Amino acid sequence: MDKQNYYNTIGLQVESLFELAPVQVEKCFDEKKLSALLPLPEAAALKRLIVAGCGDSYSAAGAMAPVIRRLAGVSCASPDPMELCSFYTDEDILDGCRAEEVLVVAISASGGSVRIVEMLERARAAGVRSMLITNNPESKGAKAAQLVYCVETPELCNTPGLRSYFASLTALAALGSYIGGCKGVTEPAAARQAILDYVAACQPCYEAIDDAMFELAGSWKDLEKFEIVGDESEFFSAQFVEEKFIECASVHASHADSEDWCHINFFLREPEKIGTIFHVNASAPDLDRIAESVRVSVAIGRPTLVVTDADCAFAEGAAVCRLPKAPENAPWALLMMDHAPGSLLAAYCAARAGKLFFSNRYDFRTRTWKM
Amino acid sequence: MKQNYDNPLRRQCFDLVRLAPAQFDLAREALLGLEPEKRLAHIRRVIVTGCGDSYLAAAEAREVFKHYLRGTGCRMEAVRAIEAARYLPLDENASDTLLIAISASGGPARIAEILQRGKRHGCLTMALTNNGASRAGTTADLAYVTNTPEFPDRMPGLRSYLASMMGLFVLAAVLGEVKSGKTGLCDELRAELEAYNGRFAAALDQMDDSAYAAACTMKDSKGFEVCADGPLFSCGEFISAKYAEVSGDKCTVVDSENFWHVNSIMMPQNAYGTIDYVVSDERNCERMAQTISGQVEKLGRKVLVVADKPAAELGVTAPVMECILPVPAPQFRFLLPLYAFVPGSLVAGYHTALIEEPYFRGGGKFFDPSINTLGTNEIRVL
Repeated sequence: MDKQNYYNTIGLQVESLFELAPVQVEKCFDEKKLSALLPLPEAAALKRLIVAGCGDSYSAAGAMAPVIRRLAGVSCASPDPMELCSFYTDEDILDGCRAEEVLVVAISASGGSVRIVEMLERARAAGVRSMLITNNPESKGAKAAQLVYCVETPELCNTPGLRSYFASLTALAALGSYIGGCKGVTEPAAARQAILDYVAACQPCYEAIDDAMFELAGSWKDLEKFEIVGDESEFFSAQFVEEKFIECASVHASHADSEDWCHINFFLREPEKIGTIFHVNASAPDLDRIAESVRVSVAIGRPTLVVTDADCAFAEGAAVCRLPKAPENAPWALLMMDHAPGSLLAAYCAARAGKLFFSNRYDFRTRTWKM
Repeated sequence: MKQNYDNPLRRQCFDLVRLAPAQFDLAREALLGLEPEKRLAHIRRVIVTGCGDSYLAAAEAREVFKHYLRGTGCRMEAVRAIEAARYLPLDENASDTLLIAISASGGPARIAEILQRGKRHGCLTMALTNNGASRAGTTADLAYVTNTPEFPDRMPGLRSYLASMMGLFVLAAVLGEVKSGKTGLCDELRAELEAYNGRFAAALDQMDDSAYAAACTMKDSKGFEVCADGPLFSCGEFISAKYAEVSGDKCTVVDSENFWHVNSIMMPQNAYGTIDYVVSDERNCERMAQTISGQVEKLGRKVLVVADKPAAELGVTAPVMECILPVPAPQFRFLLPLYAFVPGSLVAGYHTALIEEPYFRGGGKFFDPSINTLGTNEIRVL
């Protein structure tokens, strides 16, 4: 079976990340750009960020919210789009802060959706500043935002969204470390270097990971249900991979944390038919608990894959995809790449099952939409 | 015929009419026995957590705590169990923090771990439980015991879910009184609950009929999905949990915006039995109506709309199944979670009866102690 026959737009994008990373880092960790958006005194005065988006962007927001808290020393919420637009009161947005201490950050590569504009208008109505992280500074969203932080991602296929997710993660890391730098609690250069070093470290093992995911797809391609499990930031990188499974293979997919998975999802019927992926950060304070959940997944009969930078053993029977260890001083850097194996697997599962992406509407070989 | 498919989950739902006001009174009695005016006066941060349904009870209590703690300087947050146990930053001496771990059984290792962690960090710890003698009950500084009346059908958790929520709702009102100096908040809440319970009771037979009809229509679904926004999202997660436990079906939960970005792509497009929740006077109603209409018109899904008004009055343009759920007035809307889960739970219960699936897969390996280690997995107190 020739892997090349199943080459697809997820693989294309993942491969491109190694070239993209230095460019994206340069465009995002641009102190001139950031200080023009948020001069030092204003950035230093921030106490609360609300970061939101739709689909992949919501996943990026959720994954990076804990990272922003640590880098920037601010509180950071990542509500889903409807929660922010329709249910957050002014009290929720401010959460005890003064208006000038709060920044609402909407993320959207295209900048065009109604909901994104609504998020930004919601911020204005609450009297707080709004920022759009986008790749389209001419969009409706950009016009609605007070501040437009353009990621300037070079053109390349982004269907299903993956490069844009990477760009959003980078921008959020840059924003968080910039704010932290203004407050004197973080060194932005360290965050910038952590991303560069980590992505570069992943490049030598890409081909082996791609081969492994292609191989695994051989036995997983007929599964119709998937669960991706992760904790804290990895809860949202798990959500991103869930999105790729739905977008690529149109399957029934969801995500969960490692404790609640054992209380609830564990009971699903026909476990042998549910592909289960665990995202595990070597620095996770609950590594033991996640490892136990992996053991339970294998024991109950789930086809199980662990995506991790940890070098510890996992239950026999679990497939393990090992990424290089994230830097000690920036374990969050794992997020820049931990979505890749699951995304590759999702795409290969679709391709090997003879499906096109997006409910059989997107031909990943010709990169065209069927009407 | 519907009567042929009576089931434990349904019986628990019908008991809520009797249970809810009784549980309120039992919770108040239990809480007052803990001397809240003495023990809780200094509290400025309330962290509430639990596993599975218990976390959802915490999430559903956010609005009631906001209501009663407004202006007091005291705040509540609902946190997932694994985050409370291992990730949530806690000060070395968090003496102004009340850490509440919810568990009806009081047995899970994670709950004991959370309480031990809270104690290590100087928090005042509370177990909200139906078993005061349990590990949770005896680990915590305070055991807030729900004393939920016995019932023949205990599993899966549903009455216990209501009991946990009620315990929190009472706590919110009492804490509001303690922190603000106001009186009568708890009495007022009791009166509002009584009124809402009456409206729920009057609608229950209609809900039951609607749920049975929906379950029959959706019986051959490949899977299920609940679409709900804001505070009702956690209600969706509870329904999803019931499907997992009773029928073993996968039920995803998604908000009405992300539905169109992602979940609408699942194939076959019409294969997923869908339950949508919407309240007519809430700001997302128009978006939900669009989503509902699209689910039917573009995807061909079978959809049950759970709402306070007929679907056409919400702006839905497609034929759907309907279940009318009374909702409280806006100033007491936080009471909605106490009953909102009932329609979806009834559907899950009927579905399971129709397909004749044993709850929790009939036990077997799912309760093998070498596999199911909820009570025995390692505790590490950080």
